[in-house]
Amino acid sequence: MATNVKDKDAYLRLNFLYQAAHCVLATNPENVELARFYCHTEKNISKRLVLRQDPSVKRTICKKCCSLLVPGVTATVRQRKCRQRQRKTVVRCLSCGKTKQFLNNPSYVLWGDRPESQPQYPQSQSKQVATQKPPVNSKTAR
Amino acid sequence: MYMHLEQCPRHLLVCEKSNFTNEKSRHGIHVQSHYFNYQVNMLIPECAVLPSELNALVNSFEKYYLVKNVPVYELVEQQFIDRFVKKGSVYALSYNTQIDQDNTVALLPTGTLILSVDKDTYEELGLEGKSSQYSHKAVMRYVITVDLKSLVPGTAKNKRVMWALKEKLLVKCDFLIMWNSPGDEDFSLSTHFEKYQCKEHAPAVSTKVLRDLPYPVIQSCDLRGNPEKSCDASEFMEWLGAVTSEIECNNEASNFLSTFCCPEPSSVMEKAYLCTVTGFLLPENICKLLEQLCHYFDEPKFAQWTSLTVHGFADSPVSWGSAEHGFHKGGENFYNFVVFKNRDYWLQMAVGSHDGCPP
Amino acid sequence: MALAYIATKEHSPQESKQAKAFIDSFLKRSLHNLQEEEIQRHTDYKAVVLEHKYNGKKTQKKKKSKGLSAKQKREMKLFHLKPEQQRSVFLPLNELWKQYIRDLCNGLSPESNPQMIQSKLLKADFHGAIVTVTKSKCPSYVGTTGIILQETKHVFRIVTQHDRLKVIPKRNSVFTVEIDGFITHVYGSKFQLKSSERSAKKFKLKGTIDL
Repeated sequence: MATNVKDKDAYLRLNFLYQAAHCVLATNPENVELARFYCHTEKNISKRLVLRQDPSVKRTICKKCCSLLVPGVTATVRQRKCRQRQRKTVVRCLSCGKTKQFLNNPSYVLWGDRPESQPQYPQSQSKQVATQKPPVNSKTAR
Repeated sequence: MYMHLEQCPRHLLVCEKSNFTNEKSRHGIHVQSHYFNYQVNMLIPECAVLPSELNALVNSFEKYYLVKNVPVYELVEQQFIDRFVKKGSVYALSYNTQIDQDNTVALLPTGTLILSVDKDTYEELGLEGKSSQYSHKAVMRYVITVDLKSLVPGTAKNKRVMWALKEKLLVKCDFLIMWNSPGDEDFSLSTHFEKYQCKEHAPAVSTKVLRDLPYPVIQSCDLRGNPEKSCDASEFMEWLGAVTSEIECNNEASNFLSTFCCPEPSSVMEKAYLCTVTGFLLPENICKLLEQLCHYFDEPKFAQWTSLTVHGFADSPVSWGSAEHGFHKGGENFYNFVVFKNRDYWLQMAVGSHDGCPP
Repeated sequence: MALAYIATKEHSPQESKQAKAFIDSFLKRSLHNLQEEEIQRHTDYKAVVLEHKYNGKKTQKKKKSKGLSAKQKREMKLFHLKPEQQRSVFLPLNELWKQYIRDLCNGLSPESNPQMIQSKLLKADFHGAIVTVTKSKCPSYVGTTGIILQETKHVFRIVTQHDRLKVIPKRNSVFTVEIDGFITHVYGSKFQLKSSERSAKKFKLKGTIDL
């Protein structure tokens, strides 16, 4: 499967950087700066080569300061009320204070996974598009 | 197009006049600090047989060793320093290495190791050094100096030098080596370098008697020369060079190799004795030779003067003392003594371009 | 005041003395029932705009920036590493990096094409690699070995065996990276790019390179 992915090297690099950030932070929680640097590099590469990051990766990186958000180490995670019977998860970056909010909606489907997001191609091509999803997906499910 | 080739490169000639009996005379220092001597030419006018004292001295010149393929770290090894460098003086010079393109190594009797290396070697070696004086905008040559006597085993500096020369980059070359020991010899160089191809060489002596030689008239008190009475020092030097390299000075019509003729005013000597010693010669020996040459005039002789020329190695990294020596169209560094009857002497020190001024 | 407006338009607005005189007389004429002081009291400390007022729309919206500016980043010291680092901490990172390189080159084997590996390594990431400075214009850098922690445009920050963070400029140095017996020389002077920019850059083949 991996042979026909176009920017395989770049995806491998992104994958490595993301893992490296986790690795560095896991061995020594003091190394926030280093993990941040790796995430920053990762973000820049994907920006430069126009590669989409998987939402699961994106959600663990602070939008403002590029820190790797690990609950309890570099971020706090809280449940908040928003509307009646609705709760949201608030993730706050400990170094810059930027918050991310996610509605607790179990039936939510990511845009990329929705059928209407796929362009309407003939059957054979749409299959190929599906395989082009970044390999980052598989490895980041830590 | 060839203009710059035809131009004569810079050269320096320093002339001094003094007397051996003068206490302030610095002839000994000059001889002692010219460490690497390759050839000695002795010219004695009006003489057909070398006096026995001189002959004995010339033949007693110490033997030297040529050791092949020695890694330079051997010279930094603590054992070598303790056995040889700290007891007496060691002279070592890399052999068949060209100063303008190869890495050249010299160990001075003061215990200073001098490595003259090209840019690539310097960058790889990782030892601190100075850029060569004779480089252009882009530095292509560096000189690294290590004082062996102050090297203490176990210190960071010592470790670094050993590491650089042993593990980082193994610099190997052939060495001419000589040890002037104070007397008691527990070890000899040949046993120390047993592992390597070590061969003993004796200096080669060749003698020649020249007949009916025209010579320029010189006067000891007149270094500059006098148009009518005597020649100046540089003219004399030129003539001496022609004599030792056997160039005919008659300038005949058929002679197209050389147009040199003996400077005026001149006279003809009946015979002259030319003795040449070639090898790796100690400055101490030359000192003795010079002394002996002074004693030559103890008995009355026909000759007005004698001369002694000492050539240094063209590819040695130093000329006098630790002054850097370079090579640019020639690597001459030599000096010449003209000893007069009344113990006056002229000392002429000459170097080619890319060399520091003689002291 | 519409009249005054039109009237002043005929005069040039710069001649303020004339304008003042005109206003005074105009007020006197139109408000005869009031005393002069009264008028004075009314008009004092009141801005009377006689010039044409530009009535353009103010469309400048305050741009809401999410990210940080370079200056802010510097001030917050986002990527500032502490000088004391322990080498042992980064050994797992080195393992991870080796795994990554093996993955990238489809497993390093003696018969794999060195040219292919070269081109892959050019685009690869070097964080976590063990490098040695083999050649440098500055001799004291030669022989330094360590794990790369950070690669910026001009320097490598490496942690050495003695648990020290060392900053080594890329310029004028040649680095050696060894993986599974493959030895790669990296010419630092040609590598002076941000590590993120390198993945998009095309390197040109050159015959000979000096430092």
